[in-house]
Order: sequence, then C-alpha cells, then structure tokens
Amino acid sequence: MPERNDTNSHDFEPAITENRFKYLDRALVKHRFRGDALIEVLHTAQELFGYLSEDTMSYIAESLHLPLGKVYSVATFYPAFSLEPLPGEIWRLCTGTTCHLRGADLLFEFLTKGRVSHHGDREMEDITRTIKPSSCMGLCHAGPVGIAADERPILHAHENDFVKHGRNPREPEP
Amino acid sequence: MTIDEFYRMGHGYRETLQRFTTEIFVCGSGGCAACGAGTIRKRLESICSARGVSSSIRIVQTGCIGFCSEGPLVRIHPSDEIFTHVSPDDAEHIIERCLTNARKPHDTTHAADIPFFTRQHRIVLRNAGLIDPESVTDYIGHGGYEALAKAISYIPPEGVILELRSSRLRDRGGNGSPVGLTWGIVARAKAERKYVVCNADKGDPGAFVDRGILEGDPHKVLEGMAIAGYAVGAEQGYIYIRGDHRQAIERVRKAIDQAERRQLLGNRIFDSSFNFRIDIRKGAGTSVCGDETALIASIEGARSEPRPSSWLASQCGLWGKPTLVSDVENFANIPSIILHGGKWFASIGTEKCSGTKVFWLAGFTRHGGLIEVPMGIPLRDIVYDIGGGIRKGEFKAVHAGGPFGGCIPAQHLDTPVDFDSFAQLGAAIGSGGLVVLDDSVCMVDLARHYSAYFMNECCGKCTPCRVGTHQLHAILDRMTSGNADTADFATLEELCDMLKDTSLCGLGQSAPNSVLGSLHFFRKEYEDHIHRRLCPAGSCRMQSPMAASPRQVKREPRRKG
Repeated sequence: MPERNDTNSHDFEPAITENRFKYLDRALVKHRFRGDALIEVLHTAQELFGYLSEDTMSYIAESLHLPLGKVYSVATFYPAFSLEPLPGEIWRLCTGTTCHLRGADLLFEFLTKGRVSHHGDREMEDITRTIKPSSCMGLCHAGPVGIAADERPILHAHENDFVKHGRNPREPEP
Repeated sequence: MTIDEFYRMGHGYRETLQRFTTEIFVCGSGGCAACGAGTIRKRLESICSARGVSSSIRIVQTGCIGFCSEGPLVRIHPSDEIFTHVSPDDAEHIIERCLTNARKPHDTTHAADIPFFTRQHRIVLRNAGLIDPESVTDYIGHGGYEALAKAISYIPPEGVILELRSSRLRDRGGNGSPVGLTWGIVARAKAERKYVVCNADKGDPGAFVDRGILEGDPHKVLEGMAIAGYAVGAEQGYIYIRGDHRQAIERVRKAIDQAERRQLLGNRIFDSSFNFRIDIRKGAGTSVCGDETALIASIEGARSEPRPSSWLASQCGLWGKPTLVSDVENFANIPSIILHGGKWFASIGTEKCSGTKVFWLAGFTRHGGLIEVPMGIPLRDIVYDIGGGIRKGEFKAVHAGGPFGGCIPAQHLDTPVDFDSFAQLGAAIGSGGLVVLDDSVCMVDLARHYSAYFMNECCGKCTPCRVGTHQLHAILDRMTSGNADTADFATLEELCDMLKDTSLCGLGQSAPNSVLGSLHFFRKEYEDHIHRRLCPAGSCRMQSPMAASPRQVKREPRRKG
C-alpha cells in the first residue's frame, strides 16, 4: 500500500492515477468482486485518492455490478467518505468525553470559527488544514489530544499547536 | 497442524522462554505508543545487544498494560516491577536494574504495592501486557488456542453451550441478557449457512475497552469467535471494527493471517472437519451499536439503517441467515470459560452477575486506564482505590456506560458494579466507560456533549430520532449559552419521553438516557441554567445574569441605534 501521506493531494500525474487504479483493482480482486464488499472497496478508494470522485464511484459500481445510485447512497451516508477533496492536511482532534471536559469543544470552536461541514469535519480559517473529530485515543489523562497529519500526537493541545509555526508541542507547557 | 503438534509447539515455546532470566515488557498500545514507547523499546534493544545480554533478557512490545495515566510504562518480569513515565534516557538504568538489582530510590514500584493492580481481577486482560499481540506463538505459549483444541476434540457443540449456560455469562455490551440463551437460539435454528459477527464498533466517544482488548490480545477474541462458530455451526465470522482504530485493525489482520497459516483458523482446524474463516469489516464512522440489524446491514455493504425490531438477528440476520452477533468482551471471555469450566466462571463476581468486567477509567481521577474488576465490587473502590481518588476538587458523579448510560452521584457511590444495580440508577454498564467527574463539570454541558454524539450518529431512518436528537441538542445548547426559557424545560422532558417511546432502534431509544439521568439527580443545575442563567460549576460560558435579563437585552440595541 502507498504511504498515507500522499492520500490528500488530488492533482496527481496520469501515471500515478493509473497506479492508484491498479491498487484499487487489487482490492476488488481480493474481495472477489462481491457487492457486499462495497464499503471495504470504498475505504481503499478513499485512502488512495483522498476522496471519491464520480469516475471512481462509477468504476466501482461497474466492477461490483451494483447500480451507481447504491454506491452513491453508501458513499454519502458514511462520514468516513468524502465526495470532494478535503483542503490541506488532515489533522484530528479527540472529541471523547474526557477531552471534551478538558476543553476540546472550545478548542474546536476557536479553530474553526463555527464552520462545520455536514459530516462534522471542520475547516480551519486558513485552508491549509482540515480538522476532523476523532474518537478516544486512550490518552484521556493528557487531554485534549490531537493528532497531526504525520501521526504525531499533540498532548495537552493548545490553539497554537494547530496553527502553522505554532509552539512545538513536544515542549513542556509554560 | 494436528493437536499433538499444537501441544508440542506450546511446550517447545515455553522451554525457549525459560532460557531468558528476565523479560522486559514495553507497553506499545494507545497512550504509551503515542508517547514514544517505540523509541524506548529500540533503545533497550540496542543497549542489550551492545552489552551482549540479548540472550538472557527478552524485550517484548506488549498490548495495554492498563496504567495509561502513568505511561509510557515498562514492566519487568519476574520481579514484577513497574517503571512509570519512562523516557528513552531511562533505558540504560532499566537494563542495569535487570542485571544487578541496583535500585535508585523512588524510581520503581512493585505491581503488588499499587492498588491500581492489586484490586483488579484479570480474565479477559490476563495476557494483555504480558504477551506480544503480534505473535501467535507467544499466545500459544501462554495457553492460547487450548480452549479451541479442547472444544473440538472433547466437547460436542451442545456441550459448549451448556458450559456457557452454567457460567451465567451476561452480554457485556448490551443490557446484560444471558449469552448462553442467544447462542442456543442460533444453534437450534435450521439453515445451511450461519454466521458469527463480532461487534467491535462501539460508538462510545470516551471508551477504549474494545480497542484495548483487540490491541492487547487479538487472538483471544478470534479464538472465542471460532469456538462460537463451532458451537452454533457457523463457518464464517466477521469482525466489525471501527474504521479509525487503525492499530486494532492492523493487529487483528496480522493475527488472522498467522492463525490461518498455522491452521488454527480456516479449513480443517486441528485436522478436524470444522472450518471457520474470519473476515474484517471496517466501519465507516456511523454508530451501529444501537442495533444489531444496522450492523448487519453495514456488513452487507449497505447503509447502516436498522430494520424493524421484529427481525431477530439470531434467526434472520446476515443475508437472511441465522447470525450470532456478540460483543468483543463476550468472545474474549469464552476461551477461559471453556478451559476452566462454567462453574469456575460463575464463582467469580456475584450471584446474579458472574465474572469480571473491563472498564475504561477516565475523567478526573489521579490514575486511569484499562481495568478489569470482578462484578459486585463497590463503585467507591474503583474511584478511590484503583483510581486513587479525585486529582483536585470534590467528587461529583460517575458517568457510566457512555452516551447510552447515565450518571451515579456521590450518595450512590457504594453501589455494587453489576447490571441490575446500575440499571436501577438509570446508568448502564454498556461499553464500559467510567468517566469520573469532579465539581468543575457542568452536568448540562455533559448532556449536551452526549446529545451531539447522538445527533451525529443518527442514521436518519426514523423521524423521532432524526429530528428529536437535533432538537434535544438545540435545547441543551440554548441552556448552556444562557438563552433558554421555562418552556424549553417542559419541551425537553416531553422530547425525552417521545424519543424513548417512538424511536425505531436502540440508538434513538437510549438517546435521552444521559439527559434523564442528570435531570433526576441534578435537576437544580438545569433550573439554575434556565431561571438564573447561571452555571453552578462555572464551565458554561453564559452571559452574566444581569446582562442576560430581558430588560438589559432590550436596552442594548437602543443604545447602539
């Protein structure tokens, strides 16, 4: 599988696109083109392309012998799939109960100024980063907890950790 | 492999283990992994090989040791010492400690001295923190797959179900219904194909239990599922894991591969005529724990919408076939029950609730993490002995069971932990989340947090849930921002009853639980929010009572104009 880092860029070369479809084909073969593997295949496509374009969806619908409407209905139903490329890097912030009580909701509000898409993804003011809510990561004692695009954890998260050129989260809090 | 080969393999592995004088367990799960446990393990390994002691010291990256609030953790076996808050620079000292017994003051504690460990009783988590979750041989060496071997070679399928009935195991994830009964129904159903489904998609935003079990000891869950398949006559199992639990998915995938390669899963298990395959299904972010029919729809590749409740999964589940849907923790209990007998399991815990329960202890306690306690232990012991009390401030309540549960206030702190006593207080054991709250927590704000969860997770099929959860959240939002009036209070109570009575599935029916629970015990807080526009806990950001009074609000625009 390719690295997760390249999943968010959507203006890739044709040769790379070709490659990505090869990976998608591999997933289709693995699930023996069964219609019930639709969600699994969509997961793979989402990981490969970063979003589900109309072309990808009709390709999957054809391969699995499903109506395009069904693929579209499933893709729009689940929050894990997005139909358009998400702007910038994807950062995550835990919305678990303990993190909420330690101030994750205020942090969210501050970072996104209330701009929330219908799936609950939140865009930051500068569109270089998208902040996604995430479920509990087992770091409740150090909440609120975030995860940067490179999977680096941000303990005791602070507004500055999410803004570019912010405080290095590894440094102890002042 | 045949049964003989299997036992020989376990024996051989235990002999290799005896060559090591010391084992160092580095927690590699959840919090510890995020805090740099991988670097610590690499440092330990390089020091070991530099000193030439690799043959006597074994370093293992384990699943969750449990003491997550004090991580990264390192545990030394057999002296059973625990190093907390380890940094890579401590590696040298840890190795020194293993070799010479040199002890700096205050740097380690024996697990036997920490109430966090001594008050626990570990069955499900017995191996978590002691074995490498990515190695099937390690699991076999610690008695793994012996229950499956025993069941296949000595116990008929009906015998497995009888054993389960005598254990009185109750459904850990749901309402505590007897597991043996459900298994019996699926086993008796006549169909050419049956399925076993493991629900590892707990939507609880604050719980880590399923993930802790799967990351710490994935083979145990797989073994439990295989035994279930043997007992009910299924040949295909699905394990449905929440999509954002990457590490759990990766470990389960690796575990299935290893088990299939050794013929512990797949075709002709232990050279018998029993076949059982397990496939992973990744959840895509909508809670399906409200209803098993929704979970089944999602496995079939459709939108996870529930069916009317007259469809019982045990008779008409996946593709219309009888399906056994059960929780991760139920499956993880099965191997121990088969190995030691149902009577042994029934002797743990209380008369009505046997066995143990895994909890994720979080919130404002001094210590927190993944714990497993016998049923019937008073809640006070969990908060004050295992959790070490409240870090600062006063104890206010425990919120048990995540969004599906309710809160238990200070006057009921001596309640024993079991399904019935929790249900009496309007709380639930549910997903095993215990969030301990101190006096800085506003109960209305907490109810708002859980109502947001239901609003986001609702599938939208039935109107009461789709519209009701939104309205519930809107009212609570108004309350916490100081804009609610008396009419909202009446609407809130009415809405809760409506949601409970008319929703299609368990998700909508339990949406008002957290509101009703806190309304019952903390009604005054709600009244303060409405009538005095005050948050007694001081956590809601409202306008001050003066500024929010109607007169002031009216006057303000006039001044501007």
